[in-house]
Amino acid sequence: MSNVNIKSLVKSNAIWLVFIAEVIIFTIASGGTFLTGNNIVNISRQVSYYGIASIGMTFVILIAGIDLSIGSIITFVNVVCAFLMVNAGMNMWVAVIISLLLATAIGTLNGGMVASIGIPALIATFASQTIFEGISYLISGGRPISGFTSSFGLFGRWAIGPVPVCALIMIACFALGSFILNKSYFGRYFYAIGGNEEAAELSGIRVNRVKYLIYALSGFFAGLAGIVLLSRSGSAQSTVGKGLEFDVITCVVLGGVSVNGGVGRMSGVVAGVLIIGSLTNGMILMDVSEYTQMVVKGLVLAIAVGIDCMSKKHQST
Amino acid sequence: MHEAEKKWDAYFNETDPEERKLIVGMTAGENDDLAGFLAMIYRKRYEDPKNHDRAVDNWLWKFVYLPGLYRKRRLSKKAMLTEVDRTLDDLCLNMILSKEEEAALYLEFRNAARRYLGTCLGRNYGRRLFGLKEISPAEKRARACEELWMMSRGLALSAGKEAKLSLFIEALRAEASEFCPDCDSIYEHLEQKHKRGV
Repeated sequence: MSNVNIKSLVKSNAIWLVFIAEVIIFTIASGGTFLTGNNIVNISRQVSYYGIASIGMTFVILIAGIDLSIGSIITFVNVVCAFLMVNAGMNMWVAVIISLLLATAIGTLNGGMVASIGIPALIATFASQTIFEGISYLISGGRPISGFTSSFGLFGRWAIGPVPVCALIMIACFALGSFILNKSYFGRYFYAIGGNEEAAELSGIRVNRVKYLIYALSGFFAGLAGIVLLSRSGSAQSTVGKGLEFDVITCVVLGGVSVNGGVGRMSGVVAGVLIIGSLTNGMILMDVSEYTQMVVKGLVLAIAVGIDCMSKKHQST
Repeated sequence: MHEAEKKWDAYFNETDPEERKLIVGMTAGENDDLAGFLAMIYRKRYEDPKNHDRAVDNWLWKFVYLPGLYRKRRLSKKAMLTEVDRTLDDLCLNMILSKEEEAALYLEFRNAARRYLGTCLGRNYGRRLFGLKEISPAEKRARACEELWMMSRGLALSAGKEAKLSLFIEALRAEASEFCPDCDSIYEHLEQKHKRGV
């Protein structure tokens, strides 16, 4: 293999090298606890919900957008699904389907504000973040809702052999996301819109429809993440999704999806999710306080975005 | 090349498909071999075989899609080669052409590139930081120039199809030179980067 090939191979897989280095560091620092079977299962449970949510966010960032409502959609789905099951006595599956439809509808609403009205994505999704956070408080009255049937544990607590069901759901979602990006025409449209929206429109792509679809998918995946989180925690709280969107954005940007749109791949996002998941878990194992964890995660986001911006600047000089 | 350019000047200068349709329609009845060839290119470029009512520009789609294919060239080389072969068909570069047809095809490539570059000065092109920050016109020109290199010369080098794509490369380079004052240095820089495997 030539030097050029090795160099390009290392460069295109640098994110995985970072992940391996992180695992080695935490394994040594925790005296081997980090790499035990139990802890790996634990990490897979922890990363599952923001792994699922990051798929929709990837699509959104690929078209040079952003979805700040993901955290509040997760909260909203938590509260609504719990309310339907516990307060309205609804069947678990019906409650889950209604919650997912509502999450998709919120995503579509975001798409409408961005594509049809022309509100910048940051403002539109920030508005719906506030709206649905408020509605979640109104529904729950600020109190936790619990008392689900044991079968609801399927999404977050059950496991098939040693593998948690929530991790399998995440893997299936990543496979679907990867298929959409790499094998379907829609995936090509996402890259095209992120690269040059006006030319994409002139070439025949119905840009507004694709934007609706992307934000709807983002809402759907956030909703699914909300169901997994609710099942895992066993109690709906109106603060559960607060700030989650920033973890999700960090995973996606760290995974190499450009904040300028048009560039990125799903395998990088998988690595980004694993890095943030391992970082969180490693810091918990090492007894790092929650506030310090926030500082570290914020720094990781700033560095990831900074590297992306610097590389673009470097390319254009 | 000059003959075709003179006679079809209005056609090759016009970037709006509807206006171009009128021009190619007006001259289709004339005793001109080139008119038939241009009508064929017109259909290939602007018609959606699945939906005739839909306004498309299949070549502009190539302009949007091919830079991404160049960026992903190392990840899926087989897919890249398949796509380049398809592109050669779609751009009529696998056809045996007369001198006059070749000259017309060159001008058609330039027309498509001009239409693409026209979109690169718009508000949305190259926006940064989740679409919040607009870039300067100079940055837009440089970025568009980079993309023209990637979709033509870059892809040809990656797929080993420099000879087959030479007409396309030449036409895009000519348009890039008119559009971006730093075109030569950008092309040279990208050529070096490609050679280093970056």
